[in-house]
Amino acid sequence: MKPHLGLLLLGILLIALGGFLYYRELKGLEASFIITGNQTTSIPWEESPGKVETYNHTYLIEAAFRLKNDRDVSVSDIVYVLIPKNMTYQTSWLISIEPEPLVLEVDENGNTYAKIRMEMGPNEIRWINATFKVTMQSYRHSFNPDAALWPTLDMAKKYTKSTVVWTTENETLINLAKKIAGDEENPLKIAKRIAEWIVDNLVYTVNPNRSRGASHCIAYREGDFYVYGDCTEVADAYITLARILGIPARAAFGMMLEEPEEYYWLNESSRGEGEELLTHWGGHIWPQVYIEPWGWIDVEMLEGLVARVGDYSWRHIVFGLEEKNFVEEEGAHFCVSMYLELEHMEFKFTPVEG
Amino acid sequence: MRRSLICILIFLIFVPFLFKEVQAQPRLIIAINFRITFNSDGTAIVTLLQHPFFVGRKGFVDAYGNMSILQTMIEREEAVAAEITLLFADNPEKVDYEIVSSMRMDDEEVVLCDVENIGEMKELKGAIVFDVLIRLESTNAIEQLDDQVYRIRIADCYTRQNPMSWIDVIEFRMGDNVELISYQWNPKSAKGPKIVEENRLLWENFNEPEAPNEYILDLKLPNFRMAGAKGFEVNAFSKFSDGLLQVTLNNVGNEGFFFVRVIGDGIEQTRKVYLNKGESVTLSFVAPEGAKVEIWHEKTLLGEAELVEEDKKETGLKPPGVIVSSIIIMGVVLLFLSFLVGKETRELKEVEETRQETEPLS
Repeated sequence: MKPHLGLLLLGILLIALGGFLYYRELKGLEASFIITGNQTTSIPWEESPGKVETYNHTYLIEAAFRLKNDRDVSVSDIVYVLIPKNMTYQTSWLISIEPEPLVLEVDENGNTYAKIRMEMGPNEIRWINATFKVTMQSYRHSFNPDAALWPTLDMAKKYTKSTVVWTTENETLINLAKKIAGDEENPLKIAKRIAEWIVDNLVYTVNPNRSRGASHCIAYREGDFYVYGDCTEVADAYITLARILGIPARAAFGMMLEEPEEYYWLNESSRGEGEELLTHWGGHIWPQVYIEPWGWIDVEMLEGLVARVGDYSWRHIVFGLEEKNFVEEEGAHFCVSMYLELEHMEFKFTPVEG
Repeated sequence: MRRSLICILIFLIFVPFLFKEVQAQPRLIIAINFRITFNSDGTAIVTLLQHPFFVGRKGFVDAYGNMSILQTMIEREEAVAAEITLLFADNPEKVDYEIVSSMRMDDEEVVLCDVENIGEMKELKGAIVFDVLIRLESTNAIEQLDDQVYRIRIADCYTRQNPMSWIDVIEFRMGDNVELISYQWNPKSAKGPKIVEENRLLWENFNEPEAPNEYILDLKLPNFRMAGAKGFEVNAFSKFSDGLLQVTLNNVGNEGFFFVRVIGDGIEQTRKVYLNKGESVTLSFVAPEGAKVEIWHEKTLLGEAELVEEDKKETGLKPPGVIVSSIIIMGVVLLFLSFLVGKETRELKEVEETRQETEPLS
């Protein structure tokens, strides 16, 4: 072949190749949204959300509540006992409850209470005994953050509003939340940032002698903000900051087990205890955030003082949720009465086959 | 009765008194009656009647005569006003209310309560009375159903704080020109009203399971117009830029939270953002082309963001990348070279042919 014909052929081939590659680039532009240069962003609803690993853990829970009528007259009262919750990662069964409840009723938060009428003579002591079986799923998400979506208007309105304890209208907290989020616009990454900020700025104190609520537990000292308190304050701070930033959030409460086989108790005299409370009581409350496409995701900041978003261990058992209603005193989550004294409550957890 | 939070607080306040009974502390319980009058202008006057009593060692003891207790209750006026607003709102901070008359003792008033839990209302003489006016529009209890018809949701503000607490008696009165259209309550297992009249409903609640957690009234309020998000105004525009939908908000009204809702092609996303007066912000969404952007303040749709023209750099042809450009340039250079080489070859050939033609044949 003559040399110039070879060059001509090679030149045509290179131009054709260049044209083809340019065409591919243009098609690629249509398929994905180009932000800058070679960086591209994906379409969240077309992305894979990532993987989740789950493991089942089943516990038998034997609960007992000692009530006393410390009057010289008979008392008729209705006692409320909370039943562990059924939800995505937990299934619970009520095996037995004595005395027989009048009714099992679901409240505004979706929590189920057994309402038991107690007729008690002067100075009488009686027990309420309940047995539950709970199968919970521990899970660990391998999130693909690119799949994260902001909520619908209805979800945002319902789960980001201000409440008595989640004071999203507080200007100081609004500024703090904005500072924590910075320029980040991905809800999953913001949820992680809030958790990390709280872990980094936590002054852990059991039973802080303060009223409940984010306005009380986030304080300013020596040029920076910090969270002061235990699980209740950590949850309130997190939920408030998340709600300010438009991420739906609520609280789950129940127990956090130290060991799979566990015995916890609480007396009225335990109320004033500090760190020693943790030696015999595992009552716990933690936040959940709602991010599509995953739904409600548990956020744990006190397990090893590490920010865990979507990394939910076998140690958690949910008894209920706080969305609209809330309680000031932790014990009131599990058993409450109007006239009778709740002297003691205990929970025995035994791992069993599912 | 049985308002746990207040009970606990007062219980704490009164610990020195309570320890007089060594073996059993008398628990202070407060009987609660509400009278709520709805006015046609969208306000409600809430009258709270409280009557304290002890559950002591010997049983139930009237505490209305105990001046220390009454005085302490009266001093809690502000806290009680905030609790009253919880009938209509999730957070007292946002409710516009006025104290019509301060807490006072009224020996002639009667408070009803099933003190001994025997299914019988007892008349307790004397009450601490408190009147508060609430502008319903500032609460999250009111929702417009029709031209002059509004749905008002009244929550049991004590049950919300403690599942075992309840309101003993609650009475709803319709003021002048207010028409009661319908009523319901939640949970359905709770009991309905004892008295139903054209302009009045009255519930007597003997225990918590029988007491509704929520009362829902549909009322005609002829002199009331929901102003919506009065004072809240945002200039908003959106554009597709670099493939992202960018929504810019400029707050020209009151500071507050705004919802930016992007809807289109079955996808809906909402961002909530707090803006101070005069503050601007730009939010980015990955959104389908043609998506609509709505701006909300609480329940009110403020408007849609104006869509401005897309960036030309995105919609126009982009120049090819460096590698592609290099390949094309090399191809062009090779074409040019082939032309040069071809030309030279042809010239050489022509010279050769001319030479052959001019040389004599041997």
